[in-house]
Amino acid sequence: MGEQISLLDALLVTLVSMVAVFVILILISSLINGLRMISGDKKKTEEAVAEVKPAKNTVEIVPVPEVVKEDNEELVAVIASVVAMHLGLNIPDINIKSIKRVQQNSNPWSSTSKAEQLRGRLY
Amino acid sequence: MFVDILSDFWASTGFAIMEYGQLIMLLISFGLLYLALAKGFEPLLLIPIAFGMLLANLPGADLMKEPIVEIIQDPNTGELVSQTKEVGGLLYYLYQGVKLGIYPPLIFLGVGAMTDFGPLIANPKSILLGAAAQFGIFATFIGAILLNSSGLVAFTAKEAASIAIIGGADGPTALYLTSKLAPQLLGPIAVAAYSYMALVPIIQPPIMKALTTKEEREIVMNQLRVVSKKEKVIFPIMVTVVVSLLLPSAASLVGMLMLGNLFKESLLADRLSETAQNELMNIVTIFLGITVGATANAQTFLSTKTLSIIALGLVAFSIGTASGVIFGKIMCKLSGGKINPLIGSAGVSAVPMAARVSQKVGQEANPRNFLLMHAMGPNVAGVIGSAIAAGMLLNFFGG
Repeated sequence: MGEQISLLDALLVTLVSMVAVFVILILISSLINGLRMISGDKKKTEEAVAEVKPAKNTVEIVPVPEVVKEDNEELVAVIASVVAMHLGLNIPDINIKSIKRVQQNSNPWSSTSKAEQLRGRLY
Repeated sequence: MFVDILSDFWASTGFAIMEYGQLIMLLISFGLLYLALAKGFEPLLLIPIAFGMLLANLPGADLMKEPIVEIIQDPNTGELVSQTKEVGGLLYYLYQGVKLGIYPPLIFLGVGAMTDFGPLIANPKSILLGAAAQFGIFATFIGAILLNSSGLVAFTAKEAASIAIIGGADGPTALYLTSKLAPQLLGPIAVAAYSYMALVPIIQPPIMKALTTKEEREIVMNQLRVVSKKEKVIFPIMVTVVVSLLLPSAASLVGMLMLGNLFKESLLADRLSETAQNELMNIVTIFLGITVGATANAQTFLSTKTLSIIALGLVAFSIGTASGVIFGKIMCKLSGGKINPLIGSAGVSAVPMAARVSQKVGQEANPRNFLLMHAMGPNVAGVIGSAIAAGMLLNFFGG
Protein backbone atom coordinates (compact mmCIF):
# COMPACT_ATOMS: atom_id res chain seq x y z
CA MET A 1 0.00 0.00 0.00
CA GLY A 2 1.10 3.56 -0.71
CA GLU A 3 2.42 6.23 1.63
CA GLN A 4 -0.90 8.01 2.03
CA ILE A 5 -4.13 6.07 2.12
CA SER A 6 -7.77 7.09 1.96
CA LEU A 7 -10.32 6.58 4.72
CA LEU A 8 -11.93 3.83 2.69
CA ASP A 9 -8.62 1.96 2.49
CA ALA A 10 -8.14 2.42 6.24
CA LEU A 11 -11.61 0.94 6.87
CA LEU A 12 -10.78 -1.97 4.61
CA VAL A 13 -7.49 -2.62 6.44
CA THR A 14 -9.41 -2.52 9.73
CA LEU A 15 -12.06 -4.93 8.54
CA VAL A 16 -9.63 -7.46 7.09
CA SER A 17 -7.27 -7.27 10.10
CA MET A 18 -9.99 -7.61 12.73
CA VAL A 19 -11.50 -10.57 10.88
CA ALA A 20 -8.02 -12.14 10.77
CA VAL A 21 -7.44 -11.52 14.50
CA PHE A 22 -10.81 -13.09 15.36
CA VAL A 23 -10.45 -16.04 12.99
CA ILE A 24 -6.96 -16.95 14.24
CA LEU A 25 -7.92 -16.60 17.90
CA ILE A 26 -11.17 -18.57 17.42
CA LEU A 27 -9.12 -21.26 15.70
CA ILE A 28 -6.73 -21.36 18.67
CA SER A 29 -9.72 -21.47 21.02
CA SER A 30 -11.23 -24.46 19.22
CA LEU A 31 -7.84 -26.18 19.11
CA ILE A 32 -7.58 -25.74 22.89
CA ASN A 33 -10.94 -27.50 23.19
CA GLY A 34 -9.57 -30.28 21.00
CA LEU A 35 -6.47 -30.43 23.19
CA ARG A 36 -8.68 -31.05 26.18
CA MET A 37 -10.23 -34.05 24.43
CA ILE A 38 -6.78 -35.46 23.70
CA SER A 39 -5.63 -35.07 27.26
CA GLY A 40 -8.62 -37.28 28.07
CA ASP A 41 -10.03 -35.69 31.19
CA LYS A 42 -12.91 -33.74 29.78
CA LYS A 43 -15.46 -34.27 32.52
CA LYS A 44 -13.37 -35.04 35.53
CA THR A 45 -11.41 -31.82 35.63
CA GLU A 46 -14.51 -29.65 35.65
CA GLU A 47 -15.54 -30.93 39.01
CA ALA A 48 -14.41 -29.36 42.23
CA VAL A 49 -11.02 -30.22 43.66
CA ALA A 50 -12.26 -32.05 46.70
CA GLU A 51 -14.59 -34.28 44.67
CA VAL A 52 -15.24 -37.87 45.71
CA LYS A 53 -13.88 -40.50 43.32
CA PRO A 54 -11.91 -43.69 43.92
CA ALA A 55 -8.33 -43.54 42.67
CA LYS A 56 -4.79 -44.61 43.39
CA ASN A 57 -4.08 -42.23 46.26
CA THR A 58 -7.17 -42.52 48.39
CA VAL A 59 -6.80 -41.22 51.90
CA GLU A 60 -9.42 -41.84 54.47
CA ILE A 61 -9.16 -40.11 57.77
CA VAL A 62 -10.18 -42.34 60.72
CA PRO A 63 -13.95 -42.56 60.85
CA VAL A 64 -16.15 -42.20 63.89
CA PRO A 65 -19.85 -42.93 64.11
CA GLU A 66 -20.90 -39.31 64.21
CA VAL A 67 -21.48 -38.04 60.67
CA VAL A 68 -21.81 -34.29 60.26
CA LYS A 69 -22.78 -33.21 56.77
CA GLU A 70 -21.29 -29.77 56.51
CA ASP A 71 -20.52 -27.68 53.50
CA ASN A 72 -17.25 -26.35 54.75
CA GLU A 73 -15.19 -25.72 51.63
CA GLU A 74 -12.39 -23.82 53.36
CA LEU A 75 -11.79 -26.60 55.86
CA VAL A 76 -11.83 -29.21 53.07
CA ALA A 77 -9.32 -27.16 51.09
CA VAL A 78 -7.00 -26.84 54.09
CA ILE A 79 -7.18 -30.56 54.90
CA ALA A 80 -6.67 -31.45 51.21
CA SER A 81 -3.55 -29.28 50.98
CA VAL A 82 -2.10 -30.67 54.23
CA VAL A 83 -2.67 -34.26 53.08
CA ALA A 84 -1.16 -33.45 49.66
CA MET A 85 1.89 -31.88 51.28
CA HIS A 86 2.29 -34.79 53.66
CA LEU A 87 2.14 -37.31 50.78
CA GLY A 88 4.30 -35.12 48.52
CA LEU A 89 1.64 -35.05 45.79
CA ASN A 90 -0.31 -32.38 43.94
CA ILE A 91 -3.87 -31.73 45.09
CA PRO A 92 -5.43 -32.97 41.82
CA ASP A 93 -3.63 -36.30 42.29
CA ILE A 94 -5.30 -37.16 45.56
CA ASN A 95 -8.93 -37.94 46.13
CA ILE A 96 -10.44 -37.43 49.52
CA LYS A 97 -13.45 -39.67 49.96
CA SER A 98 -14.59 -38.36 53.26
CA ILE A 99 -13.44 -36.30 56.18
CA LYS A 100 -14.80 -37.18 59.58
CA ARG A 101 -14.03 -35.60 62.88
CA VAL A 102 -12.26 -37.93 65.34
CA GLN A 103 -13.95 -38.01 68.68
CA GLN A 104 -11.81 -36.93 71.59
CA ASN A 105 -11.56 -40.19 73.57
CA SER A 106 -8.70 -39.32 75.87
CA ASN A 107 -8.91 -36.71 78.59
CA PRO A 108 -7.31 -33.28 78.14
CA TRP A 109 -4.44 -34.14 80.51
CA SER A 110 -3.18 -37.06 78.44
CA SER A 111 -3.54 -35.18 75.13
CA THR A 112 -1.57 -32.25 76.54
CA SER A 113 1.12 -34.68 77.65
CA LYS A 114 1.22 -36.24 74.15
CA ALA A 115 1.50 -32.81 72.58
CA GLU A 116 4.35 -31.89 74.90
CA GLN A 117 6.21 -35.10 74.14
CA LEU A 118 5.86 -34.42 70.40
CA ARG A 119 7.14 -30.90 70.86
CA GLY A 120 10.07 -32.27 72.85
CA ARG A 121 11.01 -34.47 69.89
CA LEU A 122 10.76 -31.63 67.47
CA TYR A 123 13.19 -29.30 69.23
CA MET B 1 47.77 32.84 23.93
CA PHE B 2 45.99 31.84 27.16
CA VAL B 3 42.78 33.42 25.89
CA ASP B 4 43.06 31.44 22.63
CA ILE B 5 43.44 28.17 24.53
CA LEU B 6 40.44 29.01 26.66
CA SER B 7 38.30 29.99 23.68
CA ASP B 8 39.33 26.84 21.78
CA PHE B 9 38.43 24.76 24.80
CA TRP B 10 35.08 26.56 25.12
CA ALA B 11 34.38 25.98 21.43
CA SER B 12 35.03 22.25 21.84
CA THR B 13 32.57 21.86 24.75
CA GLY B 14 28.98 20.88 24.30
CA PHE B 15 27.79 24.17 25.80
CA ALA B 16 29.09 26.15 22.84
CA ILE B 17 27.47 24.02 20.18
CA MET B 18 24.20 23.28 21.92
CA GLU B 19 21.07 24.11 19.98
CA TYR B 20 17.72 25.11 21.48
CA GLY B 21 16.12 21.86 20.42
CA GLN B 22 18.76 19.84 22.22
CA LEU B 23 18.32 21.91 25.36
CA ILE B 24 14.59 21.25 25.33
CA MET B 25 15.20 17.53 24.78
CA LEU B 26 17.57 17.51 27.77
CA LEU B 27 14.90 19.18 29.89
CA ILE B 28 12.33 16.58 28.73
CA SER B 29 14.75 13.80 29.66
CA PHE B 30 15.18 15.36 33.12
CA GLY B 31 11.40 15.46 33.45
CA LEU B 32 11.11 11.78 32.54
CA LEU B 33 13.94 10.90 34.93
CA TYR B 34 12.09 12.77 37.67
CA LEU B 35 8.91 10.79 36.94
CA ALA B 36 10.86 7.52 37.02
CA LEU B 37 13.04 8.23 40.06
CA ALA B 38 10.83 10.34 42.28
CA LYS B 39 7.37 9.11 41.30
CA GLY B 40 8.23 5.46 40.60
CA PHE B 41 6.65 5.67 37.13
CA GLU B 42 7.73 2.41 35.34
CA PRO B 43 11.35 3.00 36.54
CA LEU B 44 12.72 -0.18 34.94
CA LEU B 45 11.92 1.20 31.50
CA LEU B 46 11.74 4.91 31.96
CA ILE B 47 15.21 5.25 33.52
CA PRO B 48 17.01 3.73 30.49
CA ILE B 49 14.68 5.50 28.02
CA ALA B 50 15.15 8.91 29.65
CA PHE B 51 18.90 8.39 30.04
CA GLY B 52 19.20 7.33 26.41
CA MET B 53 17.39 10.53 25.47
CA LEU B 54 19.81 12.48 27.65
CA LEU B 55 22.90 10.86 26.12
CA ALA B 56 21.77 11.21 22.52
CA ASN B 57 21.03 14.90 22.91
CA LEU B 58 24.34 15.88 24.46
CA PRO B 59 25.95 17.94 21.70
CA GLY B 60 29.38 16.80 20.62
CA ALA B 61 29.13 13.38 22.27
CA ASP B 62 27.76 11.91 19.02
CA LEU B 63 26.63 8.68 20.65
CA MET B 64 24.10 8.01 17.90
CA LYS B 65 26.49 8.98 15.08
CA GLU B 66 26.39 6.69 12.07
CA PRO B 67 29.72 5.22 10.96
CA ILE B 68 31.24 6.59 7.78
CA VAL B 69 31.99 3.84 5.34
CA GLU B 70 33.79 4.35 2.04
CA ILE B 71 34.07 2.06 -0.91
CA ILE B 72 37.66 1.68 -2.08
CA GLN B 73 39.44 -0.45 -4.63
CA ASP B 74 41.56 -3.16 -3.04
CA PRO B 75 45.13 -2.50 -4.28
CA ASN B 76 45.92 -6.24 -4.45
CA THR B 77 42.81 -7.78 -5.97
CA GLY B 78 41.32 -4.73 -7.65
CA GLU B 79 37.89 -5.52 -6.13
CA LEU B 80 35.65 -2.87 -4.61
CA VAL B 81 35.56 -3.26 -0.83
CA SER B 82 33.97 -1.23 1.93
CA GLN B 83 36.17 0.27 4.60
CA THR B 84 35.10 1.99 7.79
CA LYS B 85 36.53 5.47 7.74
CA GLU B 86 35.00 6.59 10.98
CA VAL B 87 33.34 4.31 13.54
CA GLY B 88 29.85 5.16 14.78
CA GLY B 89 28.73 6.04 18.30
CA LEU B 90 28.12 3.41 20.97
CA LEU B 91 24.36 3.84 20.92
CA TYR B 92 24.29 3.58 17.13
CA TYR B 93 25.58 0.02 17.36
CA LEU B 94 23.29 -0.94 20.22
CA TYR B 95 20.40 0.56 18.23
CA GLN B 96 20.88 -2.05 15.51
CA GLY B 97 19.10 -4.52 17.80
CA VAL B 98 16.00 -2.34 17.62
CA LYS B 99 16.37 -1.43 13.95
CA LEU B 100 16.74 -5.05 12.87
CA GLY B 101 13.89 -6.20 15.13
CA ILE B 102 16.06 -8.31 17.44
CA TYR B 103 15.34 -6.95 20.92
CA PRO B 104 11.50 -7.06 20.99
CA PRO B 105 11.29 -10.82 20.21
CA LEU B 106 13.98 -11.47 22.87
CA ILE B 107 11.86 -9.56 25.40
CA PHE B 108 8.93 -11.71 24.31
CA LEU B 109 11.02 -14.81 25.08
CA GLY B 110 11.25 -13.60 28.67
CA VAL B 111 7.59 -12.60 28.77
CA GLY B 112 6.67 -16.12 27.58
CA ALA B 113 8.78 -17.67 30.33
CA MET B 114 6.91 -15.57 32.89
CA THR B 115 3.39 -16.09 31.53
CA ASP B 116 0.97 -18.74 32.69
CA PHE B 117 -1.43 -19.54 29.86
CA GLY B 118 -3.35 -21.86 32.22
CA PRO B 119 -6.35 -19.53 32.71
CA LEU B 120 -6.66 -19.18 28.93
CA ILE B 121 -6.49 -22.94 28.36
CA ALA B 122 -9.04 -23.49 31.16
CA ASN B 123 -11.49 -21.07 29.56
CA PRO B 124 -10.80 -20.89 25.81
CA LYS B 125 -13.82 -18.61 25.22
CA SER B 126 -11.98 -15.83 27.03
CA ILE B 127 -9.61 -15.64 24.05
CA LEU B 128 -12.37 -13.78 22.18
CA LEU B 129 -12.13 -10.91 24.65
CA GLY B 130 -8.44 -10.63 23.79
CA ALA B 131 -9.46 -10.30 20.14
CA ALA B 132 -12.20 -7.73 20.78
CA ALA B 133 -9.87 -5.39 22.63
CA GLN B 134 -7.76 -5.06 19.47
CA PHE B 135 -10.47 -2.77 18.07
CA GLY B 136 -8.58 -0.02 19.90
CA ILE B 137 -5.65 -0.45 17.52
CA PHE B 138 -7.69 -0.12 14.37
CA ALA B 139 -9.96 2.64 15.64
CA THR B 140 -6.80 4.64 16.31
CA PHE B 141 -5.48 3.78 12.87
CA ILE B 142 -8.62 5.28 11.35
CA GLY B 143 -8.32 8.22 13.76
CA ALA B 144 -4.75 8.94 12.61
CA ILE B 145 -5.83 8.86 8.95
CA LEU B 146 -8.73 11.19 9.77
CA LEU B 147 -6.36 13.60 11.54
CA ASN B 148 -4.55 13.99 8.23
CA SER B 149 -7.63 15.60 6.73
CA SER B 150 -7.62 18.19 9.53
CA GLY B 151 -4.41 19.56 8.05
CA LEU B 152 -2.65 19.71 11.44
CA VAL B 153 -0.40 16.72 10.82
CA ALA B 154 0.44 14.48 7.90
CA PHE B 155 0.86 10.87 8.94
CA THR B 156 1.80 8.34 6.32
CA ALA B 157 -0.02 5.01 6.40
CA LYS B 158 3.07 3.40 7.98
CA GLU B 159 3.19 6.05 10.70
CA ALA B 160 -0.54 5.69 11.37
CA ALA B 161 -0.13 1.91 11.75
CA SER B 162 2.79 2.38 14.16
CA ILE B 163 0.83 4.85 16.29
CA ALA B 164 -2.24 2.62 16.29
CA ILE B 165 -0.32 -0.32 17.74
CA ILE B 166 0.05 1.66 21.00
CA GLY B 167 -3.53 0.42 21.56
CA GLY B 168 -2.15 -3.11 21.78
CA ALA B 169 -0.76 -2.01 25.17
CA ASP B 170 2.23 -4.17 24.53
CA GLY B 171 5.61 -2.43 24.56
CA PRO B 172 7.70 -4.96 22.60
CA THR B 173 5.02 -5.36 19.90
CA ALA B 174 4.70 -1.58 19.52
CA LEU B 175 8.48 -1.17 19.22
CA TYR B 176 8.80 -4.10 16.84
CA LEU B 177 6.20 -2.76 14.43
CA THR B 178 7.44 0.83 14.69
CA SER B 179 11.05 -0.21 14.05
CA LYS B 180 9.87 -1.90 10.84
CA LEU B 181 7.43 0.76 9.62
CA ALA B 182 8.33 4.16 11.05
CA PRO B 183 11.64 4.05 12.98
CA GLN B 184 11.73 7.85 13.13
CA LEU B 185 8.78 7.73 15.53
CA LEU B 186 10.28 5.17 17.95
CA GLY B 187 10.96 7.77 20.65
CA PRO B 188 7.50 9.35 20.93
CA ILE B 189 5.71 6.00 20.45
CA ALA B 190 7.80 4.30 23.16
CA VAL B 191 7.20 7.13 25.61
CA ALA B 192 3.44 7.18 24.86
CA ALA B 193 3.06 3.37 25.01
CA TYR B 194 4.95 2.89 28.27
CA SER B 195 3.40 5.95 29.91
CA TYR B 196 -0.13 4.79 29.17
CA MET B 197 0.69 1.28 30.33
CA ALA B 198 1.75 2.76 33.66
CA LEU B 199 -1.51 4.71 33.68
CA VAL B 200 -3.77 1.68 33.03
CA PRO B 201 -5.10 1.73 36.65
CA ILE B 202 -6.20 5.34 36.11
CA ILE B 203 -7.46 5.14 32.50
CA GLN B 204 -9.46 1.92 32.66
CA PRO B 205 -11.71 2.00 35.77
CA PRO B 206 -13.90 4.99 34.74
CA ILE B 207 -14.53 3.43 31.31
CA MET B 208 -15.27 0.03 32.86
CA LYS B 209 -17.71 1.52 35.36
CA ALA B 210 -19.43 3.70 32.77
CA LEU B 211 -20.16 0.74 30.50
CA THR B 212 -21.35 -1.79 33.09
CA THR B 213 -24.16 -1.93 35.62
CA LYS B 214 -23.49 -2.72 39.28
CA GLU B 215 -25.25 -6.09 38.85
CA GLU B 216 -22.89 -7.01 36.00
CA ARG B 217 -19.82 -6.02 38.02
CA GLU B 218 -21.04 -8.15 40.93
CA ILE B 219 -21.18 -11.38 38.90
CA VAL B 220 -19.07 -14.08 40.56
CA MET B 221 -17.56 -16.45 38.00
CA ASN B 222 -17.21 -20.21 38.42
CA GLN B 223 -13.86 -21.58 39.52
CA LEU B 224 -11.57 -22.43 36.60
CA ARG B 225 -10.81 -26.08 35.90
CA VAL B 226 -7.39 -27.54 36.58
CA VAL B 227 -5.23 -27.59 33.43
CA SER B 228 -3.05 -30.65 32.89
CA LYS B 229 0.67 -30.40 32.24
CA LYS B 230 0.20 -32.06 28.86
CA GLU B 231 -2.13 -29.28 27.73
CA LYS B 232 0.25 -26.59 28.96
CA VAL B 233 3.16 -28.16 27.06
CA ILE B 234 1.28 -28.73 23.80
CA PHE B 235 -0.28 -25.23 23.83
CA PRO B 236 2.85 -23.17 22.95
CA ILE B 237 3.85 -25.58 20.17
CA MET B 238 0.34 -25.55 18.75
CA VAL B 239 -0.01 -21.75 18.83
CA THR B 240 3.39 -21.28 17.18
CA VAL B 241 2.54 -23.61 14.33
CA VAL B 242 -0.97 -22.22 13.75
CA VAL B 243 -0.08 -18.52 13.96
CA SER B 244 3.19 -18.79 12.04
CA LEU B 245 1.59 -20.75 9.22
CA LEU B 246 -1.38 -18.42 8.93
CA LEU B 247 0.53 -15.18 9.48
CA PRO B 248 4.28 -15.60 8.89
CA SER B 249 4.93 -11.92 9.70
CA ALA B 250 3.91 -12.56 13.34
CA ALA B 251 6.16 -15.61 13.65
CA SER B 252 9.14 -13.93 15.31
CA LEU B 253 7.06 -12.36 18.10
CA VAL B 254 4.67 -15.25 18.71
CA GLY B 255 7.39 -17.86 18.17
CA MET B 256 9.69 -16.38 20.81
CA LEU B 257 6.80 -15.83 23.23
CA MET B 258 5.83 -19.47 22.93
CA LEU B 259 9.41 -20.76 23.12
CA GLY B 260 9.80 -18.92 26.44
CA ASN B 261 6.55 -20.46 27.62
CA LEU B 262 7.67 -23.94 26.57
CA PHE B 263 10.88 -23.47 28.61
CA LYS B 264 8.68 -22.74 31.61
CA GLU B 265 5.98 -25.37 31.17
CA SER B 266 8.24 -28.29 30.20
CA LEU B 267 9.79 -28.13 33.71
CA LEU B 268 12.87 -29.63 32.08
CA ALA B 269 14.56 -26.41 31.05
CA ASP B 270 14.43 -24.46 34.29
CA ARG B 271 17.87 -22.94 33.71
CA LEU B 272 16.86 -21.59 30.32
CA SER B 273 13.56 -20.37 31.67
CA GLU B 274 15.28 -18.59 34.55
CA THR B 275 17.78 -16.94 32.20
CA ALA B 276 15.09 -15.87 29.73
CA GLN B 277 12.97 -14.21 32.39
CA ASN B 278 15.79 -12.67 34.42
CA GLU B 279 19.27 -12.07 33.01
CA LEU B 280 18.44 -12.01 29.30
CA MET B 281 15.29 -9.95 29.82
CA ASN B 282 17.15 -7.41 31.94
CA ILE B 283 20.07 -7.09 29.54
CA VAL B 284 17.80 -6.62 26.55
CA THR B 285 15.60 -4.17 28.47
CA ILE B 286 18.66 -2.00 29.16
CA PHE B 287 19.73 -2.03 25.50
CA LEU B 288 16.20 -1.51 24.23
CA GLY B 289 15.37 1.30 26.63
CA ILE B 290 18.56 3.25 26.16
CA THR B 291 18.52 3.04 22.36
CA VAL B 292 14.81 3.77 21.99
CA GLY B 293 15.34 6.84 24.15
CA ALA B 294 18.31 7.77 22.00
CA THR B 295 16.14 7.91 18.87
CA ALA B 296 14.27 10.85 20.38
CA ASN B 297 15.98 13.84 18.83
CA ALA B 298 14.70 17.38 18.68
CA GLN B 299 13.69 17.23 15.00
CA THR B 300 11.28 14.34 15.40
CA PHE B 301 10.28 14.74 19.04
CA LEU B 302 9.50 18.44 19.16
CA SER B 303 6.71 18.43 16.62
CA THR B 304 2.93 18.40 16.45
CA LYS B 305 3.26 14.73 15.55
CA THR B 306 4.43 13.88 19.07
CA LEU B 307 1.45 15.65 20.61
CA SER B 308 -0.89 13.88 18.19
CA ILE B 309 0.76 10.54 19.03
CA ILE B 310 0.23 11.13 22.76
CA ALA B 311 -3.43 12.07 22.16
CA LEU B 312 -4.04 9.14 19.79
CA GLY B 313 -2.36 6.73 22.24
CA LEU B 314 -4.91 7.65 24.89
CA VAL B 315 -7.73 7.16 22.37
CA ALA B 316 -6.28 3.75 21.47
CA PHE B 317 -6.16 2.61 25.11
CA SER B 318 -9.65 3.90 25.85
CA ILE B 319 -11.29 2.32 22.81
CA GLY B 320 -9.45 -0.97 23.43
CA THR B 321 -10.76 -1.04 26.99
CA ALA B 322 -14.28 -0.09 25.92
CA SER B 323 -14.49 -2.65 23.12
CA GLY B 324 -13.24 -5.38 25.48
CA VAL B 325 -15.88 -4.50 28.08
CA ILE B 326 -18.66 -4.26 25.46
CA PHE B 327 -17.71 -7.67 24.07
CA GLY B 328 -17.65 -8.91 27.67
CA LYS B 329 -21.23 -7.69 28.05
CA ILE B 330 -22.25 -9.55 24.91
CA MET B 331 -20.62 -12.74 26.22
CA CYS B 332 -22.29 -12.15 29.58
CA LYS B 333 -25.71 -12.10 27.89
CA LEU B 334 -24.96 -15.11 25.70
CA SER B 335 -23.65 -17.16 28.63
CA GLY B 336 -26.73 -16.38 30.70
CA GLY B 337 -24.88 -14.12 33.13
CA LYS B 338 -21.95 -16.41 33.85
CA ILE B 339 -19.24 -14.06 32.57
CA ASN B 340 -18.40 -10.84 34.35
CA PRO B 341 -17.93 -8.17 31.62
CA LEU B 342 -15.14 -6.56 33.64
CA ILE B 343 -12.69 -9.22 32.49
CA GLY B 344 -13.07 -7.85 28.93
CA SER B 345 -10.98 -4.79 29.67
CA ALA B 346 -8.00 -7.04 30.44
CA GLY B 347 -7.95 -7.99 26.75
CA VAL B 348 -5.81 -4.94 25.99
CA SER B 349 -2.71 -6.89 27.22
CA ALA B 350 -0.63 -4.73 29.63
CA VAL B 351 0.04 -7.97 31.53
CA PRO B 352 -0.69 -8.28 34.43
CA MET B 353 -1.72 -4.72 35.24
CA ALA B 354 -4.99 -4.79 33.25
CA ALA B 355 -6.04 -8.07 34.91
CA ARG B 356 -5.35 -6.53 38.32
CA VAL B 357 -7.58 -3.59 37.40
CA SER B 358 -10.43 -6.02 36.53
CA GLN B 359 -9.92 -7.71 39.89
CA LYS B 360 -9.95 -4.39 41.76
CA VAL B 361 -13.03 -2.97 40.07
CA GLY B 362 -14.84 -6.31 40.50
CA GLN B 363 -13.99 -6.44 44.17
CA GLU B 364 -15.20 -2.88 44.71
CA ALA B 365 -18.64 -3.95 43.49
CA ASN B 366 -18.65 -7.25 45.36
CA PRO B 367 -15.98 -7.91 48.02
CA ARG B 368 -16.36 -11.67 47.48
CA ASN B 369 -15.46 -11.40 43.82
CA PHE B 370 -12.11 -12.80 42.66
CA LEU B 371 -11.72 -12.04 38.97
CA LEU B 372 -7.92 -12.05 38.73
CA MET B 373 -7.45 -15.53 37.27
CA HIS B 374 -10.48 -15.12 34.98
CA ALA B 375 -9.06 -11.82 33.70
CA MET B 376 -5.65 -13.40 33.06
CA GLY B 377 -7.23 -15.41 30.19
CA PRO B 378 -8.19 -12.38 28.07
CA ASN B 379 -5.05 -10.63 29.29
CA VAL B 380 -2.64 -13.18 27.80
CA ALA B 381 -4.92 -13.65 24.78
CA GLY B 382 -4.49 -9.90 24.26
CA VAL B 383 -0.74 -10.40 23.93
CA ILE B 384 -1.28 -12.96 21.17
CA GLY B 385 -4.03 -10.77 19.65
CA SER B 386 -1.86 -7.66 19.44
CA ALA B 387 1.01 -9.67 17.94
CA ILE B 388 -1.41 -10.91 15.27
CA ALA B 389 -2.68 -7.36 14.67
CA ALA B 390 0.93 -6.19 14.32
CA GLY B 391 1.54 -9.02 11.86
CA MET B 392 -1.47 -7.92 9.80
CA LEU B 393 -0.29 -4.29 9.74
CA LEU B 394 3.17 -5.48 8.75
CA ASN B 395 1.57 -7.49 5.94
CA PHE B 396 -0.21 -4.43 4.62
CA PHE B 397 2.45 -1.78 5.04
CA GLY B 398 5.78 -3.56 5.50
CA GLY B 399 8.29 -3.92 2.74
